[in-house]
Parts: sequence; structure tokens; C-alpha cells
Amino acid sequence: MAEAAASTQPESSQVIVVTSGKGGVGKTTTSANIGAALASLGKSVVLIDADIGLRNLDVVMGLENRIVYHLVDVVEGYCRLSQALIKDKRFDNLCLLPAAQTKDKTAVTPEQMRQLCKDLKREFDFVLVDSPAGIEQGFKNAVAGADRAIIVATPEVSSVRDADRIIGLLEAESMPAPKLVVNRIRPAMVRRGDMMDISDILDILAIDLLGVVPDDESIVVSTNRGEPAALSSASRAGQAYRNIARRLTGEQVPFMNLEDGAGLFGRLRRLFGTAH
Amino acid sequence: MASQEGSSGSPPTDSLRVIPTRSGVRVHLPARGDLDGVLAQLEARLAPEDALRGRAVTVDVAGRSLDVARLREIETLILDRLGASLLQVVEGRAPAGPRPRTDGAGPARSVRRQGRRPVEEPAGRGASPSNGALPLDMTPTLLVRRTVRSGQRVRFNGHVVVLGDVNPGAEIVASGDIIVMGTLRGVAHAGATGAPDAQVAALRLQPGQLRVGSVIGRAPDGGPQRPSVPEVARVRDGVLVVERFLAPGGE
Ligand SMILES: Nc1ncnc2c1ncn2[C@@H]1O[C@H](COP(=O)(O)OP(=O)(O)OP(=O)(O)O)[C@@H](O)[C@H]1O
Ligand SMILES: [Mg+2]
Repeated sequence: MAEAAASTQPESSQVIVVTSGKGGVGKTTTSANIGAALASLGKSVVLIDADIGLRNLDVVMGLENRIVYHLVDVVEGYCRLSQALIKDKRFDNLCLLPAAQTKDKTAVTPEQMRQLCKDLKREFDFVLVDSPAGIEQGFKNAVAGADRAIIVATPEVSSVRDADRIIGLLEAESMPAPKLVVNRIRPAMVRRGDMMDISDILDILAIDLLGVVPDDESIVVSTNRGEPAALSSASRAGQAYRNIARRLTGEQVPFMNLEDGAGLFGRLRRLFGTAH
Repeated sequence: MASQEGSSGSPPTDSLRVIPTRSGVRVHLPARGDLDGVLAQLEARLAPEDALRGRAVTVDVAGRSLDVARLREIETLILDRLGASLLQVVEGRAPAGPRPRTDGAGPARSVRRQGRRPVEEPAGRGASPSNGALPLDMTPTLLVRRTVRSGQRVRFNGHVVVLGDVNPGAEIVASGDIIVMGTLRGVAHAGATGAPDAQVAALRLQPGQLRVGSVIGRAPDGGPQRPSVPEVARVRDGVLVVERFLAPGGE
């Protein structure tokens, strides 16, 4: 991006798409929590809800009553970008660009998304794009303007397979290898051998791990309250998201000990050591 | 199936013929006539029935000399638009009389990366030079230097070697052997045009489904086993057998 160099764009500014292939694995939860955690670290962040027609990032952020304009209004020129951005209740440096509830995914083109991300990148340190499920037009729009991707997967065969599919599709874009967030892990089930463990998943996907988020009731509570769990110091999932945010800023943060932790860290070290 | 006229041994004629085979169809192009028209006719005939999806297709160009652009067109039609898994183009017999050269400038034989041998010919395995030295397999081989991921398919007329894994949901189809220098968890189909002596080898052979020629095997229920040694799958007496890989001569 040669022309951006001259602008006010912060040096490390980046557009990150949060995607998964499979639906309901925690893309929106992850976007909201990483966004809130990055904001609490002092970064300026904008969340784009690219799930047009099924918006819910605004609800998770507790901002649904403040929506006046949305993403489609911006690309269609009904309002200025700044008018559609909703400022977060808690952080001045956190904004949301909501999706349209009434339109469908074809209301936006990849080219328009690329331009939008480029414009927002000038103003914010992090532009996080919450992708819809699937690999169709909505996904293509969500990845169009992204510099890199976070893949969310749950420890289930179908989720891992969809994540693999997405990684393959992203390889075709000129993007660095995506990073993986494993969501909803249940250490007790892993210990009993009833759930895929992290090394099984990494073995197949062969990408770097960005974080492991436990299955945690506090996510449900915080989602209903519109208060991201990352902002609650008592939430284990929130802690995991705070760690992920710090890793995104370049910090080295050791992986959390998930109760049974025995061996998890050691195993990851070994995997990283031998990763291709 | 679209059409069942004629038998496969018959001489080239001036009409388009589609003949069912064990693994798909064999298409005989008419020896004369405008190729654009012929391809359009072929698409119109086969597209509605979706008859080629997943099948192996042999196109006999009846002695026409096609350039690369033309071969690409045939490839796009058969593999992409009609959804076939494997394509091979054979030159076939030109009708008596002067050779028609209606299409393109030079013959494609030298630039074509896929083999042009007819199906009936043996795969070339063990074909030894006439001086009786080393038995060499000269079949074209495709090297895939990456992990093949879910939703990705590799199709090749020849052997396929993957330097990486083949993940669940990925598929490799080859007319020859398949060798995976990694873990094979997806679907592999070796000998897809019928070669019964084809084989599938992997450092870790854990496929969901394996096909060699027309024999299909699937992982036992309860998930694939996790072998720790390189293994190879072949057809023996009509059954798919998996055994520890041993270098030939070491057995
Ligand atoms: N770590 C977790 N622990 C417990 N519940 C979770 C966790 N992560 C997500 N959930 C719950 O799973 C459901 C789906 O999450 P979310 O909406 O974030 O998924 P999504 O991938 O955005 O879904 P969609 O594909 O529909 O956009 C929500 O009810 C959410 O509260
Ligand atoms: Mg969502």
C-alpha cells in the first residue's frame, strides 16, 4: 500500500479478519473480546460486523440501541463513514461499524470492502472484521480487505475440517499464514479422551496457535449483558482473550494452564519447535 | 449415460460419440469439422445429465493435431464445467487421407504435461530400456509441494507425489500411483483409469477412503488406525491390502 505510507496510518496498523467456515464456533465472541481487550491495552480499534443480514456483534458489545447507520449505508453513500461508527460505552478508542440487518450479503462487493478497510486503517491501529460463516460471498467480502486472518475452530472434527478448507482458500490470497484460536475447549473432556486435544488439531491444520479459549459460562452471561468477558478479570475465557490480544501486539505470552494443563505447554513447545 | 452408439474399436467417423467405460466415458471427436462446434455439442449433450461428474474421461481427438490453447479448452470443459475427475487426451487414429490440420499451428505432443497414452496401454511401470538395465518408470509424475487441504482436489494423469499431508476432505486422483510424504487422511484414488497394479503409499496411511482401480476400501468404523510406519495399499486378488512399506528387493 504505497499511498497509505504518507498518511497518518499508524505503523503497525492492520486489518484482521476473524473467520471459521463453520457457523456458531465463536467468531463474533472472539472479535468482540479481542477488540475489547486490545482497546483496554490502549490500542485504537474498530470492529466491522461483516455478517450482513444477521448482525449480532452490536448485541455482544451492548451497542444495539445506538445504531443509526450501517455498513451498507456507508458503501452506498447514504452517510459518511464517521457517522456510521458507533463509539463503545467503555472505551473511547473502540468503535463498531454495524452490519445492516435488512440487506443481504450481495449488497456489498469485495472491492467496496477493500476500500472501506483501507479508509479505516488510516484511523485505527486494529481493524477487526467479524466474518459470516460459510465460504460464499459474505466470506469473500470479509477477507477482501484483510492483511491477515484469525481462524476460530472448536475441538470438533467438522469445525477443524472447515477451518482447513478456509486455510486452503486463504492460501490463494496473498496473505501470511493465518493464526488459530481454539475455542470452547473442555479440559476434563480432553483428559478423558472424549474431545480432540490441541495437538491433534495443530497436527492437521499446521498453522501457529494464537490462543486457546476454554468453554466458559461467563461467555454466555457476558454476551447477554453486552459486556465482553475480556473486561471481567474473573472470567477464564476473558483471560484467554486478553492473552490473545497481547500476543497480537507482539508480546510473548505463555499459554494458559487449562486446569489439567499437564503437558499442554510442553506439547506446544515441542510442536512449535518442530513446526514446518 | 448420454449415448451408447458404436463400440470402442470402431474407426473414426464424422460424428461425435460418447462411449461408457468402467470408470467413466470415452469421447470420440469426429475427425473433421469445426472443433468449437463439436465441443459445444459435447457440452450440450453431457451437461444436463451431469454424467461426467467424478468420472474419468478419455478424449480421443481422432488424429487431430491440437495446440496447447485447444487442449486447455478441452481440459476446462471436461474437468471444470462438466466436473470430471480425470482427463486424458489420446491422439487416436486419423482417418485415411491427408491429415486434417484445422486447429492451431503446431502439434501439442511436446508441450503437453499430461500423458497421451491410451488407456489400454500398460502404465509403463517397469518398462525397461531395451538394453535391459534398470527398470525405469517413465510415467509423468506430478509433485505437489504442499499440504492438500479440505476441499482441494488434485487430479493427474500419471503418478502423484505429495510433499506434505493430505487432510480430511481433500482428494487425490491419479491414473498411476499416489505417494504421500506425510499423513494421508483424505481420499486417495490411484489407478483411476483402471490400472490394477497401482498403489497408494504414505508415511502415515490413515485415509478415510482409499480406492485402487475399481476397488474401494474405507477405514474401519471407529476411526482409522494410526500406524507408525510407512505403509502401502495395493490390490491383491481383488481385495485392497495394506502392508508395511518395504523397498522392492528387500522383501
Ligand atoms: N468459549 C465459549 N464458552 C461458552 N460459550 C461460547 C464460547 N464461545 C462462544 N460461545 C457461545 O456460542 C454461541 C455462538 O458464538 P458466536 O455467535 O460467537 O459464534 P459465531 O461463529 O459468530 O456464529 P455465526 O457463524 O452464527 O456468526 C454463542 O451463544 C456464544 O455465547
Ligand atoms: Mg457471528
